[in-house]
Amino acid sequence: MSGAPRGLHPLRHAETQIGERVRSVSIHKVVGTSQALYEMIIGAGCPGADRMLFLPHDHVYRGVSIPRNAQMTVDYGNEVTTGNGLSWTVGFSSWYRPHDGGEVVNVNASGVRSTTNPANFRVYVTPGIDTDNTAVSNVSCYLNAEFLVSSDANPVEFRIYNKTIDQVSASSGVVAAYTANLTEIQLKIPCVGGRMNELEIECLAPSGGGSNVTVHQGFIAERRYESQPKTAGTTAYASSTRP
Amino acid sequence: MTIETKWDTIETPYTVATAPIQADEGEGRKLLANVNALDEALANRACPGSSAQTFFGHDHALEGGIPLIRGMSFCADGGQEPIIVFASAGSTSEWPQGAAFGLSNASPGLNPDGRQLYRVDIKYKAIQSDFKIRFNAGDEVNVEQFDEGDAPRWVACFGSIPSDDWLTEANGIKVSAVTPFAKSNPLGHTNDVELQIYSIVMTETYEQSQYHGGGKIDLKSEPGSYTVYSHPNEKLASELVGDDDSQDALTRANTVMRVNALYEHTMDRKALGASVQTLEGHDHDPAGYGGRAVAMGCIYRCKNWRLATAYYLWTITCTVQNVWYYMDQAYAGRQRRTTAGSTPSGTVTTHPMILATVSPGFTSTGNPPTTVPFLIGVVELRHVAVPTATIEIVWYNLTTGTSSPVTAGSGTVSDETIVSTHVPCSGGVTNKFAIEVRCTSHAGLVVDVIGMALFEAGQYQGSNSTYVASTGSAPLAVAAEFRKA
Repeated sequence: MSGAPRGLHPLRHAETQIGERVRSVSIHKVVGTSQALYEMIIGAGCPGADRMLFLPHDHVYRGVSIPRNAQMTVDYGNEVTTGNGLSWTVGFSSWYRPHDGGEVVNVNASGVRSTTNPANFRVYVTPGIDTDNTAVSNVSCYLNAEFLVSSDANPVEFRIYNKTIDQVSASSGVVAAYTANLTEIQLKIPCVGGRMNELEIECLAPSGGGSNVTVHQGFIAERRYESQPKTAGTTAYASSTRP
Repeated sequence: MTIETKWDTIETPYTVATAPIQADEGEGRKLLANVNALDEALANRACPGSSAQTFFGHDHALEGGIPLIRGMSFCADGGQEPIIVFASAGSTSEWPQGAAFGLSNASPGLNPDGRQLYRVDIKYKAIQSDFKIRFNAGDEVNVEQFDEGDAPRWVACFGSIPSDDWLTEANGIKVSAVTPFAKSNPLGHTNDVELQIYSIVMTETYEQSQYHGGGKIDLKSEPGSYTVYSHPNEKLASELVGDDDSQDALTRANTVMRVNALYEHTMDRKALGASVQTLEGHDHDPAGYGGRAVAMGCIYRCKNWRLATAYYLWTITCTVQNVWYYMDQAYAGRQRRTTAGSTPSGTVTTHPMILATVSPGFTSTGNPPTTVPFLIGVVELRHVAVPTATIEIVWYNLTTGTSSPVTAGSGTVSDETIVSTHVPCSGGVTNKFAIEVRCTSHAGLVVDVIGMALFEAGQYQGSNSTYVASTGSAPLAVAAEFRKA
């Protein structure tokens, strides 16, 4: 028999306690596991082996599902004209009005949305980054969106509806009417991992009459604190000490 | 005390159940050196007891680890306006896009066997004809003619991922109208045949893009109720086990704990046989969460191919030669984002043109940064009236209060892409940028901005690595997908 042994074995404390006899079979387990780890970390066949046995960690299904940063960015330059870029009109209403890619439609009184309008954005979400999971932030995983926005006449609020899972972000809070500068808003978008998520941006003019609103620039991103599923581990690798 | 970090394969005959406990090839010592090497390759640190790190921390690129999907590679969106219009005067031949996508991110090594694909989502309107859309020589996707009044729709197509550089020029989409052109227009009134593209999002996805290496065995959940310790920080010195000596129980226990810890830190699951997971999985956030920062590719992108004044992102007149202007400076009210005048006077804007989020571990130093980490900025310009003008660009980061070096264009073309390395950044947070431009060869030059991008990238044209180098001096190994012929 030759070659490099690779296998994943339970390495029990009971087999390594002081007073326990050293057995070749337990050494075999340690060697085999360490050589399997070589493949799982490096992604290459263990030296001495004629082929690679173990699937390497890919930070999706093997290893921590890490965020991939920006999944979509937009920039409409100098465009602020309603009907161009991402500008639309909202009226004084208790209803959010979505931007639908060409037409402006009110959410009706019962809150039912149009099912025929296309989403503003399509965003791929990494498997594991899912609102059903808890993030590093200790709340549900979500996508982080930040936009430069403006409203030409009256205060407004923005939010994003995820058509794929029929959930909506919390409101941006009140964006004051434009005086001299654009406003930066942050939205936490519920999401489902491992597929495209279709997103629709919505706006509300809660008081004071209608307004022309514009999204000037922004991004939708997976970020560590907000999006990354929390590990089940409790101790940092570098600071772990033996009992 | 000697801490060895090297990889010696321990072959089966020396560890099988029938092998002598006292092996004669130094297997015990080799084992310690091996797990020390794995510690460095995983955690990107000098292994416990060692004063120097031998092996690079794995980066899922050229220094260890399998290729990694990095999300968005390219994005352009026109909102209610198309960013490209393919209009036909009667030809049924394929219409290549006038200009390719421009620089986009291609995560290296993802496509070693030619089977991994980008997913490209396109929002479109098909007017007076069915069409076929193709991306990077992928399969054609048929899109049907719209009924009057239809809103744009999304369609997905797939195309191959380039494998030779981090920043690459994707071929872009290609379009052909289906013959006969118009189901509703059989008499050949083809002048109104159009395919309007409103949005393009090019993404590396797990389902289509992830390469899995040559491994076959996947992990399944393991029942666990044993006492299993996972602690990686005991020193595993070579003196603890002589070349032809047996390993004492304490050293063996420490070795076992290290191997269990490596498993948990690699895979983010409890060690085999354990009832609970002790250690956090590594996530490549170097601020104490395990491993080395990895670049996530494109973090900002915009572009418009419709080359007419109405569709430029901005147009700026560099009225005075050698004076800096913000790119949006010619506009007023909500059309402008920055708040200061030209900057030789020392006035800097307090409001940004661009928001972009930067990955953990990408915090630059210096003004401008002279070493990694930094971002790569791209600006695509037109200055048709004076095609020999020399243009210079600076990226100003409001978050760090620092700027990139001045980067000059070629000065010999009317359409040019200016790539700025060493754009400053602050990791793990949203960064705010403004871009300045000046002309050093003419007064009154009109500059049109048609595209911009920011990248965290490993390399561009073989250099310009933008993330922090490991303190190791060699990779433990490089996955085959990254080896170049």
